[in-house]
Parts: sequence; C-alpha cells; structure tokens
Amino acid sequence: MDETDSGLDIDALRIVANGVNKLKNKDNAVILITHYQRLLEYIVPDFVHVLHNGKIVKSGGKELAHELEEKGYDWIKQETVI
Amino acid sequence: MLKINDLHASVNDKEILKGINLEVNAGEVHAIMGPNGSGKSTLAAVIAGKEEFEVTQGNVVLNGEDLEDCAPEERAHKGVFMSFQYPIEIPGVSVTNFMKTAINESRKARGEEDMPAKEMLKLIRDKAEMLEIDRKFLSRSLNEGFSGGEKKRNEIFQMAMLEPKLAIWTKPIPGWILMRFA
Repeated sequence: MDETDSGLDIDALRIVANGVNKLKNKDNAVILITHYQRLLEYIVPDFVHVLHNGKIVKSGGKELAHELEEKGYDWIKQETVI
Repeated sequence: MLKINDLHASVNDKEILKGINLEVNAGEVHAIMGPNGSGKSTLAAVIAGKEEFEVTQGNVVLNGEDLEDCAPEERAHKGVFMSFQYPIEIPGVSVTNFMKTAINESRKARGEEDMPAKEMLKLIRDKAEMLEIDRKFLSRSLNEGFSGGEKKRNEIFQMAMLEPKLAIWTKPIPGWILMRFA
C-alpha cells in the first residue's frame, strides 16, 4: 500500500458520501472507482467488480468488497492465472 | 443505462483495457476496485471520453447510443457526470455563476432556452439547502482557495444541479470508497 494515501481527508469523504446518498435515486446510476478497499463511510454498492490487468476478473455484491478488505487482491490475481 | 462491450483501449500504443464488459442499470451503484495499474483510471477516462485514450475495440453505449464520437462535453450534456472534471480555479467566477453557465450550456446543447433567472435561483437555493451548503460558499470564486472538502462540496453541488444520469466518482481522493457493512 502506498503510504502517501494514508492522510486522506475524512471531511471530503463524508461530504461525498452524504451527497451521493442524497442524490442517488431509481433513475440515475453511480459508479465508484476506487483504489483501496478501505471501507470508511456509507455508500453501499449493489455490485462490486474487480479489475485486474485490464479486465474485470470478478464481480459480486457488496460482500466481495468485504472479502477484498480481508484478503487483499492476491487471491484474485492467482485465480486469474489458473 | 450504460453498457460497455468488449472494450479495449490503449495509451501510446500500450493496451491498458483488454476487454471490459459491464452493464449498469438505473438505480444501481457499482464499485470498481482493483490493484494499482489494473486499468481503473483508464476506464473512467474512456467513459468520460478523454482524448488521450484510444478505443481500439468494443464500445461504450449510453441509453442505446454509442458514445464513440462524442467529446467529453457532449457526454456531459447527455448526462455523464465525472468527479474532478472541473478542478480549475476561476478567480472572479462564483460557484453560482459557474453553475448557471453549466446548466444553460447543457440546455443549449439539447436545443432548449436558458433557464429563467427566477427558476435558476430557486433551484440553486433548493439544492444548496438539501446539501446543507451555506450561501457564502455559493458566492466564492470557483475552487479558489478551496480545501479538499470544499472542492468535493462543490462537485456534489454540481451533481445536484446537473442531475446526471450516470455519475462517476473517482480519484483524486485515494482510497475513498465509502462503504460500511452494518
């Protein structure tokens, strides 16, 4: 992990989370593109996709993000090789 | 809403995206995660229509329309919102004035008249209230001296005003994905 990312701006995160949660509705869609599976606040995705080497190698529900938080990405990279 | 079909894209002849398939429907929130260098930023940039990326195969379809020949601003007019699209500081242009211009540009692109001033003011007031944005913020110069939080507040305000069909939130807040599983 890149340590430069540890000083992340919680205030900014909360503003985005609250805003997106207020603005999302049945007629629009939101894509969150993220670096880490650090799970900080409250936008709960319906679907999680893992990108590796230019392809989506795994898709799932919100529990997939949870799994990534626990296990990192290596298991996915290995599955892809096999 | 959004359909990405076998999308391949390159930068400087180096292939970064190698066949992305993704379907996003109205009402859904999708998170795209992945290790560094997996292609996340490229995917965001290609959906937004950034020109330094070349689509070599496949396509991006928004509401049935292939976006291939659409410039980033046309995509915005069609309802694609991308965070950090307007990070520039514009001294002398207030948040409010910027929003008025952005809204009327979109209306013009759809062949509609400018929004009447009264309606615009009401919209600005309603959305600001909903997002708890105070009036002082609205009269400040765009992005000038904004903190990280204020920049995001401004982006959320843009999203509220423009009511995009598809909003893409990406860096530069690293690791910002916000999920909590109760």
